[in-house]
Amino acid sequence: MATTGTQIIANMVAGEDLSTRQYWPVTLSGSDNKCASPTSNEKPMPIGVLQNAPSAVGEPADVCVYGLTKMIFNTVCDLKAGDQFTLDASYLGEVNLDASGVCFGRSMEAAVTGCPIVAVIWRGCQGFEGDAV
Amino acid sequence: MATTGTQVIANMRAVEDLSTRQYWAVTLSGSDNGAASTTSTTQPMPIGILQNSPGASQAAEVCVLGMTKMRCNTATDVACGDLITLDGSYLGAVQTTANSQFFARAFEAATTGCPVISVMWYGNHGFVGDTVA
Repeated sequence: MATTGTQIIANMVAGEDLSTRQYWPVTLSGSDNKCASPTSNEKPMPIGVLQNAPSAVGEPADVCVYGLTKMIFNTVCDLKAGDQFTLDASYLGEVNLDASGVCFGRSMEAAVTGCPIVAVIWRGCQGFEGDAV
Repeated sequence: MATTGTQVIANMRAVEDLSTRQYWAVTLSGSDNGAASTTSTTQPMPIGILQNSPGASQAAEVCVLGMTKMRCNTATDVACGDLITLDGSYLGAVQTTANSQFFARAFEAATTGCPVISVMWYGNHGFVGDTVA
């Protein structure tokens, strides 16, 4: 059962078509208040997890910047409840196996199959300027 | 356009006149539940961003996590997505030093003196060494 809970939501607008990006990490597009997929942006460090699926530029985009959210993981996901996660090169979640790697949050449930959507606590990137993806 | 969103608010009490400190970083005064300007206390590490403009002994609403406006310094040349630390006056400034602390992330760009911009305030996390120099 997915864990639900409280979120800090940023009320943004889509900087591009994000209709297939619900529960993916997103970042700031470079324009005030706009979010975009990290792969299309020069500031790729994700700001949060997209909660809805805006299909056009300017549509409302609700981004969980801190708290309990669902999030999509990659196909090789072998996740246990409590694992700390990072992001792969496609900005899908994966278990963090690097002792000095950046963790964006912690899994609240287990998953083993391809591209699962998992309940996590998203903490984002905090603390030090060197914490880039 | 300012980004709005959810906040975690601490309901504190101003231990000094903070009527000119709306959207400045504030800290704990050293007395229970007391908010003070970061420059006037022995505990200068900021706890959050002041949301109102209380006089001494009045209620102080402090955003300790989440989306808020924040006042930056005159030298600020901030881009969307920049990491924000504090200068010697505890005004927001872009963090440009690798492996150095940041407190927030900018959701708006600004170039002119002492702008108030939308940020995601994370506060201080992690290590006891994370003090403001």
